[in-house]
Amino acid sequence: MAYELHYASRDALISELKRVINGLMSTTINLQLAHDYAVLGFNTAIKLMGDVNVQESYMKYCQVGSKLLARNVKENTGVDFTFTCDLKTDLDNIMQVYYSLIFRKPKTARYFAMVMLNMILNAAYATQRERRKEQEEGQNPEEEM
Amino acid sequence: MSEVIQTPIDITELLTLTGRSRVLTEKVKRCYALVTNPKTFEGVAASLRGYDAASGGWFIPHATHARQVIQPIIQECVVEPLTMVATGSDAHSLVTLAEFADMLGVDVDVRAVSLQDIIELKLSSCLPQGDGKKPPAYTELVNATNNCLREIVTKALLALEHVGAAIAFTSRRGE
Repeated sequence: MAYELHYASRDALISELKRVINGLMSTTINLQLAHDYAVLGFNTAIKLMGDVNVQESYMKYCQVGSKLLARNVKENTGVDFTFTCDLKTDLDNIMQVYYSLIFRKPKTARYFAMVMLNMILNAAYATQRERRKEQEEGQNPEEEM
Repeated sequence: MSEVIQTPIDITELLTLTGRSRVLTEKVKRCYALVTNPKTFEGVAASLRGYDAASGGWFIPHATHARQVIQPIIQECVVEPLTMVATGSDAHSLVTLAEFADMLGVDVDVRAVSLQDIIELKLSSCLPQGDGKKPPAYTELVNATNNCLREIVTKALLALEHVGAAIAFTSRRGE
């Protein structure tokens, strides 16, 4: 089951995800704080995940770049991650890998969370571009609400 | 007397590793000084050598004795401070323990082990065990014990620094 977030709500979640990723990037030393950011980031990603526009955007992004993304993950964390390009499934797998790492190799877990959440953020960004395009063409029903 | 190889760590190295410039707390400094002081290592070497009145012969140390000798320092500079910071099974405590274990090269999921287990695993890997019949050579055991001790304590202090806990530690102790 999916829903369509109001664009303002989606934008707020995108900003929140960006804030969390910035936080993760700045916590190379304090891994406790990094874990807090990762948990909050997953919560935000879960909310975004339900949005049909983000799901579609993620699928497009993933289908084109999954091999390179997987390589990027592997080279930086040593984790072999297989993308299904279904956001719900992938997010579930991402969290599974994260929780298998955080209490064993926390530095790796932090980096893994950062890369993966950034990928979801990129997919969500694309929905903003789509909306702007629709706005320019005067086709966005959300604007009329 | 056998020579003991010592490679003291400069305090700037620790600060570089932590990426911080703030002053270490008195407690952390004390423990740090303890494991960088050659006298500590001379003390370990002396404790591992002695006359065994019970058997009437010279005491032949092995890994178990080494653990006993360094136990008080590990208790004071590793177990006590880390237990204060990582007080339970909450995520923050577990992350701190996981960082400590990871720094020591002990590959375990800390949800399944305790701090004592992590230390035991590290000691098992860094102390020469001998071959069962023959204990390890004295010099080898002394060097390994000192290196183990220094690594375990230094990594614990680093873990404390990373969570900014050194100040909390000293204030809780009322020092």
